[in-house]
Amino acid sequence: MVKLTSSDGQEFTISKEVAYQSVLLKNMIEDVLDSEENPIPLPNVSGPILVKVIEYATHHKDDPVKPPVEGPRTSEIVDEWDKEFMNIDQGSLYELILAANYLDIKDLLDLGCKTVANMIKGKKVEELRKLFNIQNDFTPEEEEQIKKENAWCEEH
Amino acid sequence: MRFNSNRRVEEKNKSEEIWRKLEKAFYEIFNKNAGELSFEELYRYSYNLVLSKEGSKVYNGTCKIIENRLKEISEEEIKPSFPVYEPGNKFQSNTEIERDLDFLRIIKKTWDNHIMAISEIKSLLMYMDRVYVPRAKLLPIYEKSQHIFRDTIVLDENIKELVINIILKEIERERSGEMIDRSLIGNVINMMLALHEGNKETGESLYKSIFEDRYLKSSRDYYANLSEKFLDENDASEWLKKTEYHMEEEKNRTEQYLSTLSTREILNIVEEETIEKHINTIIEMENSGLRSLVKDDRYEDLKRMYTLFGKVKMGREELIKALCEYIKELGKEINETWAQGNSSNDPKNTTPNQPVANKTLETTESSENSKKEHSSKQSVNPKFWVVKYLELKEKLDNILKRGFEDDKNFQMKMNSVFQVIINENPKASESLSLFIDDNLKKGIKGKSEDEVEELLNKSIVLFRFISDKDVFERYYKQHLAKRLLYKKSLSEDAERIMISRLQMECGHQFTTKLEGMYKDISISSELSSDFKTLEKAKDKKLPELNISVLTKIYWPISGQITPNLPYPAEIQTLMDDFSKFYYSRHSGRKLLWQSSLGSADLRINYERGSKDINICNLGMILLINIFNKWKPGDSYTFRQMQIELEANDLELKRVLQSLVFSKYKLLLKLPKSRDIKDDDEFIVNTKFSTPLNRIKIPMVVASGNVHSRSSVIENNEERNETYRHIEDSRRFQIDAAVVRIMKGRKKMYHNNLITEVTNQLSSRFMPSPTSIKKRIESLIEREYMERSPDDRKIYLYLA
Repeated sequence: MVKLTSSDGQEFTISKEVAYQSVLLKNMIEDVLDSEENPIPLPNVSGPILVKVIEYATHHKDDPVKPPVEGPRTSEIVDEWDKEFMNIDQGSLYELILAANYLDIKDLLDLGCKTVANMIKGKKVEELRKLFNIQNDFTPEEEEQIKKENAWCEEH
Repeated sequence: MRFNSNRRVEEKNKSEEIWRKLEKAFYEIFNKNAGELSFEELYRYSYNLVLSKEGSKVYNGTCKIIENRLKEISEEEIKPSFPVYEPGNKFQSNTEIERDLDFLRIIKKTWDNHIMAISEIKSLLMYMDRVYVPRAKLLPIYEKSQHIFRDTIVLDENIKELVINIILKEIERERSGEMIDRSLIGNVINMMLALHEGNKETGESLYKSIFEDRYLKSSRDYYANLSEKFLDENDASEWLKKTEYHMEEEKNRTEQYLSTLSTREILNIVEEETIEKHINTIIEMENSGLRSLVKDDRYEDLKRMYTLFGKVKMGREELIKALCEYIKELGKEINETWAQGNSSNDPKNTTPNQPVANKTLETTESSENSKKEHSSKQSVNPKFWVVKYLELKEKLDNILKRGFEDDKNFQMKMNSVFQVIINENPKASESLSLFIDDNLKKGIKGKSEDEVEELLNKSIVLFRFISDKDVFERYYKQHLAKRLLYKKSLSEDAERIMISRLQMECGHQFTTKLEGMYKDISISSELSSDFKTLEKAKDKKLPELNISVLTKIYWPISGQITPNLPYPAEIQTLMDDFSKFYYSRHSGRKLLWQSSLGSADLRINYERGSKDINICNLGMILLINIFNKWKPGDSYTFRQMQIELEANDLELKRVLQSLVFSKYKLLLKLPKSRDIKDDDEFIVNTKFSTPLNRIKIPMVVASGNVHSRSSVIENNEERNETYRHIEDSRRFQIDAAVVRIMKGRKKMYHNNLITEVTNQLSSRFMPSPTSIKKRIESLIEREYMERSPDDRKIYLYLA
């Protein structure tokens, strides 16, 4: 078993199998032998997010090793559970992605990025600005220029 | 993202601070004080640094730390322990060796520490390796550190030289039988294997680029030296064993502490230096080279030689060449020994071109003068020749099988050498046939049927090598005729096996005549018994008659018919009866009596009892005349007898010789000299006695083909005769072949025709181009073909 401590001091005990989904934890456990006693501090991850991460890692611990995807990658999420899992507020989503990156859990990182990609897909510029809370800092002239350059994109 | 400048400075300071912490941690790791450090914390530091775009700082900083650290070690630990050698001292003292090893140990320790530290650092910088390094197109920190190690430590000119030299010295020490620290050297070698040239993992390993060539060169020098020295002092088979051992040893070395990358090369070097450069020395080495191995049947050594030579260029070719050369010499030796033994009692052999005057007489004389020698030596020699060849062949077959792994190339070469050496003996065919004759004859003691068959099988092997098969056929026919007529054949089965073997080798045509001879004999025995029943019915008290009716074309009987002898009346009647009997069965055939081939049993009543005597026909007539017609006690001169019997001088002389000079002296001659003159007198030896009841008067060996009963080698005159016959039959065969080919092609170039004819006839004999040319000319004369008027080289067939 492995003990983890989140940034807000919560302690979690998980099986090695689950922990090994994270390359970072895997390296740490392998390099530092007495990890059973001392909890591994994860000051970069908050408790609620760590719960999410552990949930994900537990669900996928028995997955077979996936073959590398060939051809162009899509943003489609095949797994129904994963879709449901990602049904969270935007703030948590970003934290989850950061945690996945930090802990080096490739599948979770991919899943998070796909979710964000799906949020962007098919939306108008104005909608995106609203969605991600981005200020329009272009002058109208600049905007016109960009629209012209990207005219091919709008036709679809 | 945009930051205001204040925040940026703040960030900057913060990352400086974090980096210093990392830096400190790395030093701790190098000093093996990593226990106090928190992995997660350090990972998070590097993670944060990379996140805040400080990847290059981490990367370059880390490299700098590694480099400084290694430089420090190099200066403080490695360089001070450089071994110092006393100049001019060839052999290393133990302390020097120890100093060498200490140096290697330090290198090993440095490497081990480096690897250990860098593995930890790599883990801490994992995020950098994953995110920053690919984007910046740099090498992962681990590889980069290897390159730093390579450039700072291993490729330092002084260190490099020392490491390589020490390893080479250690290897040399091990070669000379000393124990060395294999694992230490193995570790240093592994280090060189792990490090690569250039900036990629795929680059040549340092082992290849800096060590291997040196290692191979020093090995080459070592083995060149060793084989020079060794070959001067030792024998070849020992050297081969040594080589095998060395190769095994070098192979083990590469497997155990060098690299299998070099296995092939080092073995090549050993092969080249110990074998390839000395192939001829080894083969020709006196008392232990190829020849003596062959002579002493050292199959294991030969196998070793074959295997080892197979590893080097041209090794086997040279070996096979040398062996064939040797076979040729052995063959020549056998041929010469035989020819010497032969010429010692047949001086004409050595001067075959000298015109021989008064041939017949000389032959008779020589056979008289050296009768004992003649019959013993001359009948032993051809057998000896064949036996020697069979021995040689067996030896070589053994070598082929047990030493040379059934090498096809050797088999081929060996066969062609055999063909050459066997045919170098002009009497090969004759000798072989005699050998077979000997084994098929009755009265061979101590040989089971299986053994005989075995010998026949071997004979066939030799037969294959004989190029003039027609010559062999002729001799074989002669010898077979003798066996059949005089009923000397050991077993019909064996004869038939032999004939079927010959048929298999040369085809049906080759054996038709032989089979015909067999048929004649079996038909004749039926005829004789039929005839006997008929005669018995007549109830006349006549002697028994056994007849062999021979088809003339099958049998090798010289054309001339011996003049009819003055047979006693009873026998003459019997012969006439048989003629009638035969003609009644087969009309349209003609019977000719070959009296010289027959023999008769007769009984002589002496005072002290009767003796049954078997003698040739002429002898029978002579004895009947002497004992029955002429007065006993009277003497007769040769001339008188000759006129009385109307016999051929030569034949009569031979009969008389056998009666006077053989073991059973039925007649006495005055004067007692060896040769018979016209007025020499002969009288009956009334006091003749012998413990035996049946005796056989052997015929004196002399001229005449089938006439002599024992099969011995021919003398020159006979041989010339035989060859004349063979030449005749060859002429016809060439004619036939030429016509056959021309009939098919209608038009042909001279050269093509010659080739084609040679091909067709090669199974029987090798016709010489001149002889073919002569036959072509004769055929043109006889208008079977003509030269094309357009091109003189083209022949046209004339229907």
